[in-house]
Amino acid sequence: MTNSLISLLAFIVTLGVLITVHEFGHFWVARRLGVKVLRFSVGFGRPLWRRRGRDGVEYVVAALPLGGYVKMLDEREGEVAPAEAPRAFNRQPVGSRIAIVLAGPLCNFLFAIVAYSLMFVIGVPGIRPLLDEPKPGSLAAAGGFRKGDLVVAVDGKPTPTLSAVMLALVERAMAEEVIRVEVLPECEVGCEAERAVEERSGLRTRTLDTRDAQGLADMAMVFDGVGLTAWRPVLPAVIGQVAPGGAAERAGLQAGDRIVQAQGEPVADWRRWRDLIELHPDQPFRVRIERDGVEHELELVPDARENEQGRRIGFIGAVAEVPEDLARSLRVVVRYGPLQAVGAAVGKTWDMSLLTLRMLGRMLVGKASLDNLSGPLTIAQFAGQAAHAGVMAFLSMLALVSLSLGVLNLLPVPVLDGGHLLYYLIELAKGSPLSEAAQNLGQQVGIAVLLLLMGIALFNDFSRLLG
Amino acid sequence: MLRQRILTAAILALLVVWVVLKLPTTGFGLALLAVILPAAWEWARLAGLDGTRDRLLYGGGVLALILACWPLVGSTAFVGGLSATVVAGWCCALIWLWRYAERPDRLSRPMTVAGAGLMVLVAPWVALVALRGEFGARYVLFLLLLVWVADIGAYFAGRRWGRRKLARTISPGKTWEGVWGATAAVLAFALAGAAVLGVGVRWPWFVAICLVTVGFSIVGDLFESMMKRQCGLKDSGSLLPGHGGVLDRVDSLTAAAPVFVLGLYGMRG
Repeated sequence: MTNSLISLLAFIVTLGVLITVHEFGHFWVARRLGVKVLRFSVGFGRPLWRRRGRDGVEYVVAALPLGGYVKMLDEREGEVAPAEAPRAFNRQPVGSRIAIVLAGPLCNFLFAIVAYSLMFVIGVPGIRPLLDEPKPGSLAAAGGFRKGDLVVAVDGKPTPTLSAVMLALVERAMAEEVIRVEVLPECEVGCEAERAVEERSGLRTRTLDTRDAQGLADMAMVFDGVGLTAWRPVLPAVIGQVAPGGAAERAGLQAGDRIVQAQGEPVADWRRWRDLIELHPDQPFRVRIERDGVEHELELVPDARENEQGRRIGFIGAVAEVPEDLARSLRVVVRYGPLQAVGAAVGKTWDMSLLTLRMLGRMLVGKASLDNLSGPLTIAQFAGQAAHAGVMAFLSMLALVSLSLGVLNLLPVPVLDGGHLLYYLIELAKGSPLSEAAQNLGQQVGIAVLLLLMGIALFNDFSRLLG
Repeated sequence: MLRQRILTAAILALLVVWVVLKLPTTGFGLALLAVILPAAWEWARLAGLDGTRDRLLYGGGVLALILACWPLVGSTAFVGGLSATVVAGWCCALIWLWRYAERPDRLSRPMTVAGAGLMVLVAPWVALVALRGEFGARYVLFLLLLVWVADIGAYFAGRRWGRRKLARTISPGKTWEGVWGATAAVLAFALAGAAVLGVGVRWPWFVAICLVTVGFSIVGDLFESMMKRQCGLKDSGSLLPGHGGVLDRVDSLTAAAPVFVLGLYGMRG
């Protein structure tokens, strides 16, 4: 319950902020260019709150938080006093109209850049991209990857964290070329990656031939797809945290418990322990633990779930305790100076926008599945998780949703900013505006396309939530 | 007249059963076009397009859209998304019906009717082909029978007990008692269907889907009646001897198919 409440709250904050940012772009540029703005509305439909500013603009917060609008004086929408006509939107030269329409999406990109800059200045925590043995017979095995490789760069792009590697792989897999991955070998016990990169000593190049590979469009799946595995350190079989309501808690396991024996067999490390649990979905088994120097016996009944291959496996809702020095050696914080941060943020915004656009393009030509389309519910869930995970994740999510909004709004679909832009560009090329009838027809088609896209996105959201 | 009616119905029924059970999905999709395109021809007139050229153009547009959708019918996301969208559209159609019932003098704009035609024509094609492809011919046959059973149940219950009119200004022949008759008939048929199709422990879900589907089929029926009434027509066409037009035969199915498919997706999880 509190979870969905937080999701809802995070969702409203996210959309509220991003819609305001977007509409503010239109608003600010319109006023700068001398157009009279009648209303600035965040949300559609019935007004919940309204105030008339001293500038004559009516500010509104409306009930449906799925968008907003800036209503400008316009002769096509109502009577305009002759004295005010020069301040009407439709009277503006096409260049000004283009600027006003572009300003909304641009503000979204700007917001993403600011958010990313902030993140880069504070420092983004991540996990070092240290690799384990690649899956036998996989692309990674064929490309020469070894246990202990620390990934340094993908096709020349530095990748300081595991998620940076995954993102770079998704991006490069779309280019349909052989991907070149630079690694520093034999890093299990820690190595000075920064210095090695600076001096360019000891680096090796591995390759991934992804030209015929499928299913590399999703960051969560890309490692699986090419057969890479992130390094899993050998951890002692000590419980670190117990999830409330899980099988571990029901059996009476506590943080700090050391697993000594299971089914009469000694348990050497956490991996052995997890294998045992996975083998016993819904089946009770006896466990001997050590707590504060005293040994106890207890009975554990793991819960059951299906894994990615559709096999039933057990799980108990507990994570391993990670020794502090090990955690420190795996963790990495990517931090930049203010100026560098802005540069990196611009690059990141550009990369992510391009990725979004390419993804949409691939869906359009049927190369990527429509399952990748997400709607407001996924955003809400995602926003909720991000809000839980902390300021940094929330900022990152805000930036991502903001730039996605920017990209989506620039699509040349009538009704969207990109559609208006298309009309104006035609006007520029033709020398006269597009006929009212053609614009209306475009509008209808645009609405149909948008409704369908929204339908698909919502359907996917529900499938994910229920499935 | 009655003889002609029964004969036409019998021949059509046999033909439909053969098409559903014997043709592969591609053939089924093509055969379905033979129903949808004449229906589009008829719908064009309801949308105020009277000239042959305009009506052909409208049919061509519908055909183009269906062909554009064809490669996507294998995608659950597409079919589900489209179905969800048109189900929302049918809910709007219900409001539309309500408002028309109160103010029958207010006519709909031809452009809007033409747009609604896409919901009536393209979406059921996609839904039925997806149903055939993903769930199999038996489910298609079940859906067709479901709609027919509802019609028959409504007819007899309406004739025996019918008193309270469902929508006097739109379709004076329909009564609330007919709706309950359809519900009862469908309840029995859905229970039997759940057993025959082997839906297993999720049978309550399945029965609920069938009932909701029938609710929408009534909306689809009324919606077409409303369109005809606005144009002052009794039948949508005269392609089928004794039965009026094609649209008159498939109007219930047009709204039912997307709802049914969406429900099955939901049931499958």
